Amino acid sequence: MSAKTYELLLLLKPDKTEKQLNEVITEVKKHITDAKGSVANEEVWGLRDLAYKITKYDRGFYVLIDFLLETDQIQELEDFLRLDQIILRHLLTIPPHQYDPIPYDALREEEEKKMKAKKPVERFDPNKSKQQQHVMHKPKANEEGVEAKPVPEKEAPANAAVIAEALDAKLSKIIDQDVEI
Amino acid sequence: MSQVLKSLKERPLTIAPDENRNLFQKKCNFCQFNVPYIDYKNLTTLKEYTNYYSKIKPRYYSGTCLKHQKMLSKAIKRARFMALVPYVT
Repeated sequence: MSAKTYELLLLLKPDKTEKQLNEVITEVKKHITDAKGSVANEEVWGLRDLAYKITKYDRGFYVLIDFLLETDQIQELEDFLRLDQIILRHLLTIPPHQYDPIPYDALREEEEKKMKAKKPVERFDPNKSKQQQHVMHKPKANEEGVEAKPVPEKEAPANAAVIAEALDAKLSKIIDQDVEI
Repeated sequence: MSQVLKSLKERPLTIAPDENRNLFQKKCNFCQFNVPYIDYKNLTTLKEYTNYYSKIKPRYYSGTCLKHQKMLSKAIKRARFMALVPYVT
């Protein structure tokens, strides 16, 4: 028989007391040691928000246990975990050979950094909205300019009338000359 | 094996897809650092390869190779099961 390193993540119910939670963790570890295994590392994450609700629970208590156990004994451990009342979910994985796990504190810090790096949501600002209103008024100012343009056009007809009169005079002169011829 | 272990310490915790990448030039971000295993607890890397709706991004957007995409999808599905990452938002 060959022994393998396993990684077990437990999700426990959050409404239980610390005593009950500690009892469950010690029971699991005792189950491993009784089956000629050895617990290498234990990491308590503590309470954490769940990504979605699991049977009315919004939060969960996470515990990570690294251990070495023979492959024959794993089925019994799985049955034990499945039948426990306080354990909501469990995940057994086999990390690759000589893999050094990342500590939870480092992962948590990285997550918090990412959350801070996110841009804050822009909220309604009365001063800003006024500035935007000014911007909105600008097209109206342009419209006034459009209204101002017709004024020179009104002058233009007057000029045209003068030109027309001059043209008339020239025409009459030419006609007079033609008549003389 | 010693080389792999050395790279584990040199590697950054979160590996994100390169934003300025040429879309036609496929380049796997995990292959650059010789990643042997993607941990399902490393949530910041997993979130880089999921959608706004927390769906897994396809390979032609992120540029990962097939080997690492399989590792990624496995890690994301494990994290979803343990309620570390949502199925849908």
